[in-house]
Amino acid sequence: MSDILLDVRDLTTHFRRPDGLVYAVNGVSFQVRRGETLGIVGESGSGKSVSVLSILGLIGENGKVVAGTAEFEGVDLLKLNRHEMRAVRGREIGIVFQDPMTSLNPIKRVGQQVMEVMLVHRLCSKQEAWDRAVALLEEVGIADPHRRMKNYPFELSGGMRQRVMIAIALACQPKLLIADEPTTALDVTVQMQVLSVLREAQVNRQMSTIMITHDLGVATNLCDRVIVMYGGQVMESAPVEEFVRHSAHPYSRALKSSILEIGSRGRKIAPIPGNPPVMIEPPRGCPFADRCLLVTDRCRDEIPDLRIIAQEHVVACHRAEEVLEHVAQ
Amino acid sequence: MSHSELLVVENLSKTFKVPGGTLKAVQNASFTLGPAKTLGLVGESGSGKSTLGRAVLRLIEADSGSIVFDGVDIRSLSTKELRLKRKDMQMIFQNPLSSLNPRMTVERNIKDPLIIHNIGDAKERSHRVRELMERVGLSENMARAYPTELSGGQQQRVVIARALALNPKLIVCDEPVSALDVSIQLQIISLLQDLQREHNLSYIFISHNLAVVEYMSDAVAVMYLSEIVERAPVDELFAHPQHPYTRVLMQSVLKVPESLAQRSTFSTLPGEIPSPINPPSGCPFHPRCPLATDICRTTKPEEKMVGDQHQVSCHQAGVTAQVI
Repeated sequence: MSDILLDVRDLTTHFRRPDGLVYAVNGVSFQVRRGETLGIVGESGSGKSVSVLSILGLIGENGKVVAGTAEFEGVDLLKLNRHEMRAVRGREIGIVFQDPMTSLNPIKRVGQQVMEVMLVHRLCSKQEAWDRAVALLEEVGIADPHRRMKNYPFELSGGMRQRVMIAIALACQPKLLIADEPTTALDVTVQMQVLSVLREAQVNRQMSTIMITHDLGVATNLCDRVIVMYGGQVMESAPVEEFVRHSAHPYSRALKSSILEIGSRGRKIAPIPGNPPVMIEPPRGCPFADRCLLVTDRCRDEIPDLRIIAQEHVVACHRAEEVLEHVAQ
Repeated sequence: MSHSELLVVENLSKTFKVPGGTLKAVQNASFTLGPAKTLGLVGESGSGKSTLGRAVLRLIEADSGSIVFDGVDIRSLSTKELRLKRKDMQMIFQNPLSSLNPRMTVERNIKDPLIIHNIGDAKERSHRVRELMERVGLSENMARAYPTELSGGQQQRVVIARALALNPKLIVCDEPVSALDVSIQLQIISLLQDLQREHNLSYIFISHNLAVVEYMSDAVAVMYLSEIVERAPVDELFAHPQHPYTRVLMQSVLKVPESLAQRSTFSTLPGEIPSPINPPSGCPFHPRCPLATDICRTTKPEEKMVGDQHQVSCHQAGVTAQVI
């Protein structure tokens, strides 16, 4: 059995808009190992969500995957028809989105919704599904799960609804859990609770997880490996410890210094100038070039390849070595 | 009260009638704010921080309490007098797009307050708009653009330019960077700080993010379930947080760890914020508080002084400071 669960190569996704194409994802490659938690970090428009939605066949009618492969246990997900895809989504791959209220059916009891995913995939009898659903609600930290089974989504708090979403995503014992900004809409104390649930589920179930987030704090505290995306491309990928100590892309470093931590008061802040790119033209050169302090002519003309600069550590920057040298000094 | 304060708020309360009862949104909030200073209001959703910010400007009418701004009792002003006074008090909201007029160009949006208050002639107004746009970092060619054509960061710059147009003394900033990407957040924070220095602005800076509040503020008030539970100068609060809730909020700001050993354990409070329609007895925080004792369940804590200008509403404050 291969150690690689999901192998995405050269993924390219475009969207049609009335005024032209949006080049949302441009040649993205990454792998997810078995049992690994992978963090995909980026700002809005970086392509982090679209990459993953493309793999799941969820990008909507105006979007199109124009190139690439996404092999999940050796099967290219991009070649599956709708029917085949449905057998994978929810069964092999569980998904949690940012806003549980738009993902849950407002007029169905939550217990029924947790049971449904198991029944649709014909995993067990109705009676067994009930028992399993109760156990799942308990696992994600919902007190008094028997009573909660009968609640409607509106009767639950935001944090509890997100726990229900996680229970649904875990119900079929997926090999891969994909969480797209699962804590972004939650209050900070509730965010911590949900992150704790995700970490425990990950440890207990030994599944793989892709955590999509704009928050470098979330990614570096939860994940084994971090990928940074910008302008529809992967800028850097490294194991988390390597990443926090030796990130080699100017954007990764700028992102890190953009985070205000407690104790930042009085620190001189140096915001990244400019705005994220609007990808209405095919990429030419490095997407970060316009905002990068180290930019050269080459950066504007030549898309930097992802190259290995340390074990398991790849970076797409013509000047990565200089970045590392500069930091070492 | 000291004459040096720009804003003195005392015992401000606001209740809303909602289906199923009354919602106490803000209870007995008191604070002062000096010229060119920033008060940070921090709390989670439903804490009442936004209602308090709006009530200070009388965008929401408080039920009781007093607001003295620049020596004037704001709550006693007539609508007409208030409108004149509003020149000095502006507001910036979280979502810039919903506070700009989508059918007006950037230029017209910024010019609007000058027209409403009948300031300058057409030429002077245009000149003022150009000046403001340049100051907040908007290029001249954006003047004719419509808000939806701009990025979120640029939209927030338009809102800031409009708020500055009348030379206010106070700006209430309600989560002004929460909807923005991190790289843009820092740009806006930096801009707000520069403008404060240049124009001696006072800010009420409302945010759920304690790190951002610490960075921006001279003093901080922590709100929980419609009450200010702790208030202190910023250095004092972060050096000696007394309320258990303040300490939990501090732990909830995730840092980028330097090694795996330093990663967060994600330890936090159990439960969620109770409904303000049916708040708990005694201390509103007691159902989630690891230090709660019988008195916390039955008796609401009085505000007490625990240091220089440091007030806290907690029975346990100072007693068991090391536990959390």
